[in-house]
Amino acid sequence: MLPMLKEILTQSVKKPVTNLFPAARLPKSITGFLEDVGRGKANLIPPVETPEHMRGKLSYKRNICNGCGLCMKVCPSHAIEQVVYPVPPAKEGEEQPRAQKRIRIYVGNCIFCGQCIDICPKEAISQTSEFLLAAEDRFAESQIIE
Amino acid sequence: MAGNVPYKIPIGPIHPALKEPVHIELTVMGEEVIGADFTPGQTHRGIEWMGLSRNPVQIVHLTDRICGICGVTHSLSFARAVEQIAGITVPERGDYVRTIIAEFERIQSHLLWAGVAAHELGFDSLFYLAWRVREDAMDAIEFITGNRVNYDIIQIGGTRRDITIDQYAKIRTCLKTYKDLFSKLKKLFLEDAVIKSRCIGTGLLSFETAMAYSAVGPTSRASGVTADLRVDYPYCAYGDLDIKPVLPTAYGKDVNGDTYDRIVVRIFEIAQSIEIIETCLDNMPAGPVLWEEKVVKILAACKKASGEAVGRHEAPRGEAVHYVAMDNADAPIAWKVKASTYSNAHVWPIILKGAQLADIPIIVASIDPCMSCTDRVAITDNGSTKIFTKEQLSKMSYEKTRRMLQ
Repeated sequence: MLPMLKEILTQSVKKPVTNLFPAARLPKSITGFLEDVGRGKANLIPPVETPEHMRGKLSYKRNICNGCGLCMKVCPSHAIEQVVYPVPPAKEGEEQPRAQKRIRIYVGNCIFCGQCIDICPKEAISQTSEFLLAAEDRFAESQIIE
Repeated sequence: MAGNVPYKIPIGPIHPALKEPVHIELTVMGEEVIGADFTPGQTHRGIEWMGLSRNPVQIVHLTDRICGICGVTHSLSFARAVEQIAGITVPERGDYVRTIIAEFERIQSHLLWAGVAAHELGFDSLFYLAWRVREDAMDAIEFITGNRVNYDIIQIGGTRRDITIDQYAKIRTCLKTYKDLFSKLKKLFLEDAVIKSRCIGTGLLSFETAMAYSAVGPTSRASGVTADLRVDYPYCAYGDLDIKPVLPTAYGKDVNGDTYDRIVVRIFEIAQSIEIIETCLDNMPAGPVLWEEKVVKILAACKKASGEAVGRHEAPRGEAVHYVAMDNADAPIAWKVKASTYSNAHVWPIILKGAQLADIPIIVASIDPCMSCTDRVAITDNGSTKIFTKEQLSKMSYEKTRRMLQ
């Protein structure tokens, strides 16, 4: 009649499946706790391992990129913008080099679909499995890839 | 309390008992509901409008964000519509990968629903169990696609990732876990005295009403309607499979059309999905999964396309429909989404009538509503919300058809 009773009894002697990330008990201050972890005073319980080929934060190699801008064309969330790096004026008798077109990716806008990786002809963009990306400032250094 | 009977009780748009914003207004006489009405349109985010300034390759990933549970439903429907317009044929293997993901989605969605249903009954230990076992399906999905929720695996013309031979073993292990679990789940959900006493006979939806109000998916099948898009209009790999719509008779009982029947249908659909994935894995054809590897070529093919089409998919909750019209441009000129809850929500006023107040959460949840999928239109004019009558809307619709024909 109550089949769940047996299940509850067996579950109660088993180890909980929840991974207690980042700490087993709620610290008084999360930022204080993270600072302690940084100083090596506290231990961080690691998050559950990510599978292979998880789609996380993008990584971008500016020196390979040729600035074609195809990634901007397929980005669903307009997270990529074009940046033009000025070049110093050419010396006399030399041809003026063209300004370098490169891209800038805003992590706050990115939806991690990985479409830019598929279309990139130079394979300048790749995906890492980094997923702890929360930040207070959307223009913080960690939130802009260039 | 005397006087002013019957009472009107508004629930929502934001209410602890509701997972998503929807406004329900109930007229009650004592404990009994004598009338019910609902107002959707509280989760409107303007996704269709965003789509009209993007190309199909961008939209296909935008559609993943329409709903947090139907991660593949909308992208598959949309991709099928665009493929018809552009005349793109999906390779066979791509169809099989699509089917496998769609069925994994059904497993996790039904388990999620089963947990929510248990929670609405106050049966939280069962809710925790259902959501714990759901994690296996989520892990399998993450393993195949790279993300737990927003799969992003569908591309116009196929899928973006293949299921490689070395991935089969892990998927099979996951399926075996569910196979072993199935009899337990069946026992916990269908033989429990609490669930039986709360669900049998509540939220009755007759066969005739289900037909008249065009209910779809498990909601209609629980009332005995043998309608399943996968069987009636096979697409993807479903044509190669021997499947039948799941009715409450699968549990060897008569069709009542109550909440209990809806649980029966969903639990047995989990078993059906496991079988479908197994068959697909066994019969995976070789070859590519995508019509064209180069995304630039897909973009070019979409830009050249013109015409209109409807893409459909049997989502865990029922049929989802995407209408797309394109006209030799980057962005489509029209895109309309009709999710399954839009059809199913209309039976709420019927099945809520005569119910006890305490039964409302489980009856509302029994159709597995998803408001994010449903809410597509909100008309605001200078800050005030306008409500159009059916006649006005029909008139506007006729006029629009005429305009488009000119």
